[in-house]
Amino acid sequence: MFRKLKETLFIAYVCIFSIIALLPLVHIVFTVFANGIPVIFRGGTEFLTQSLASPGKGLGGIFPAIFGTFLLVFLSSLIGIPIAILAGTFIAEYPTSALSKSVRALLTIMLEFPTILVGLFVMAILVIPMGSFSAIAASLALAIVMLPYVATYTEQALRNVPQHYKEGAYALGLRKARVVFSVSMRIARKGVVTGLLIGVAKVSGETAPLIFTAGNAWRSVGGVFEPVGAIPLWIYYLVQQPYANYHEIAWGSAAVLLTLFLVIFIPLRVLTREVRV
Amino acid sequence: MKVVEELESLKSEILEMHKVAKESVRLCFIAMRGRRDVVKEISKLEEKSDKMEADIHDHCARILIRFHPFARDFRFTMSAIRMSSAYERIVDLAQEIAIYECKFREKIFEAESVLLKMFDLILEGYSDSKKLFELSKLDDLVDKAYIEAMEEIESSFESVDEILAIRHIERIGDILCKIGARLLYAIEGNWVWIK
Amino acid sequence: MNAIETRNLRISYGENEVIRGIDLDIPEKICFAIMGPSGCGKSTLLRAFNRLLELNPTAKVSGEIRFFEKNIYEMSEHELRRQIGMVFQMPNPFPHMSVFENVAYAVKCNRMAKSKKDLSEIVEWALKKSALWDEVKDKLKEKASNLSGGQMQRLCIARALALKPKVLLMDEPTANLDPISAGKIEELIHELKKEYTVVIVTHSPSQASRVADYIAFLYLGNLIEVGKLEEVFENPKNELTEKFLTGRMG
Repeated sequence: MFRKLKETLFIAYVCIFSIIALLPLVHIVFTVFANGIPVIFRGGTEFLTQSLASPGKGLGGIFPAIFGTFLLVFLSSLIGIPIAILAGTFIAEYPTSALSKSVRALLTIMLEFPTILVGLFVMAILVIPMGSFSAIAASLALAIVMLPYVATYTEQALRNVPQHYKEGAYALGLRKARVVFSVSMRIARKGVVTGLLIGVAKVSGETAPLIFTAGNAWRSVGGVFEPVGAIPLWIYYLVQQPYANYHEIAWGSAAVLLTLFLVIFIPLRVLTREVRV
Repeated sequence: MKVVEELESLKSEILEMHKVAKESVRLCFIAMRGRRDVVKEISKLEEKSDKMEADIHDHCARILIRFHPFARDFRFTMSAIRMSSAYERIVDLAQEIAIYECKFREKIFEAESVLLKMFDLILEGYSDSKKLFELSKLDDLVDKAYIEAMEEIESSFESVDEILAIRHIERIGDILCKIGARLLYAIEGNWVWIK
Repeated sequence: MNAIETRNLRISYGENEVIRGIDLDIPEKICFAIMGPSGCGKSTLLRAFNRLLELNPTAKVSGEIRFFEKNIYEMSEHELRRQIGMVFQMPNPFPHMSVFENVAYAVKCNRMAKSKKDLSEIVEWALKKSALWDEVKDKLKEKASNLSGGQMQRLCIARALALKPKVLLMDEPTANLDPISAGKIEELIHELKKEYTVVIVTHSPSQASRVADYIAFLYLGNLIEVGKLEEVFENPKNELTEKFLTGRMG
């Protein structure tokens, strides 16, 4: 009888604390959608296609920010993913070399490195010599942020390829490059793609690296060497403005960002559960 | 281990048959001296040995099927099949001898103690396989007794039964040598002839 | 000529000596079984023959290994592995490739087919040789992972045979298969040993008794006994071999 009571209390205790842990997340999602979705509905499709409204005058659109986010994700992937995959493959296939051990240590540091410092670094090496903010600088910063995630997921995925497939490939007289790229990589495909998507999802919401590299673009969509906007950047700046409509636009942008985020992450989680290791 | 248990049990069955065979030979010499009351006992032993042979064959088949034995285990199982048939043959012969109602001359009785000693030698062979080679010397003595008994009969024939009986005695000696050879194979792994 | 010879072969993983000075002669075109209790080094020995041991950075090999009288270190390991095929305990066809591609892939990489037609013929030949053709001829484009365990193992055999090796190494090939599939593979070995030298590692004396012509018994890295199967199994000369065969070891 007493044991039953203890059991019930324990379960209640676990439930209550789980709910408390989930509360902030639920609160954020709820608040953002509660405040942002009405804005989007009021703004209509123009909210997604036009550029920033004048101070105090209506909602306008956040198209430059959306364009910027997509451009930056694309460019940073282009720069970061190949390097990350090669790095991940290298440390997976040559785990004992000194270089490999240093690279792995470096990647671990990069995972925790303050992203604003990444932004500062790129500013120093690219923005200042170029004389202006640019999409390319922002992409480089994002690529650096993305790199350790994609690289470590790639390494894990390759490590998880069962040894007997590799042995079988070598036993057929295949050379190392073939075994790694045509056999291991193809088998590890799902894990590597997961890593890619996680990297992409992460950088699509990053703000700090963009502050010193992207500049901003409120009304235009420029080329690779010109300043560019991004949704998180806009939210950061808009919130600091004194105008009420800008605050509303910020909520709307937040809702758009959260939607994009969930649209990538939820299917991603479902996918990873299906991957057999 | 199960296979060890089974083989131990098989071994005791073989030793039991050995006892039965030895007893039947001992009794058949008594019958030869004129005591007809042992004939019934020998018949019982003959029935028993038939059943024991069948049981041992069956036991060996089961061991082979279940345990797929190798090396010594395999050799012993193979030997057990042949040894049990040999012992059964001995008891058959002993019974036949006992049934013959005729007078026997003394000569053949020299084989009695030799044959009984051969049985004991086989038992000793389980722990010291070299002893089994001595069986051939003893068999020579049995053969000698047979030959001399035959010479006596040739000079003064009395009945066919007597001839048949002493031939069986000689045969028993040969079979005991074969049993020794099978045992030697089981223990040492070599096929030898002991004659 | 012997297919494989070793002289004073020693193998260690770091400080741990696993094979302690073995002299072995494996004749051609027979089935040679290597047996022993777990941990005696049989799989290690097998992997030394096709230099697969080199995948393990801690493995050290000393002594001679000759393949048809040529030192195996005097040729490239890739060339050696084409001539010595290997089948593993866990069937490991490439899961992302079709049945056809599995057999064809190494043939293509080693440039052993003159044309597409030639390649198809080689694949068909190899699948027929491993008694799998009839079961997969309509499924060549299907993923290899859809096959049953026994079929996968025969696919691995076909994949190795497609490279026309002289020796086939098999590391406990039926350990993970049901008795019927295992039986099919044992039947196959009887056919294969007419043309190839089959070296099979097995922990089951019963299996060795069904397929092997010669057996070598290893214990703690030492070669204890070697000889014709019937002789060793009926009357082993060494006490340890006897203990192993009769299951009294350990």
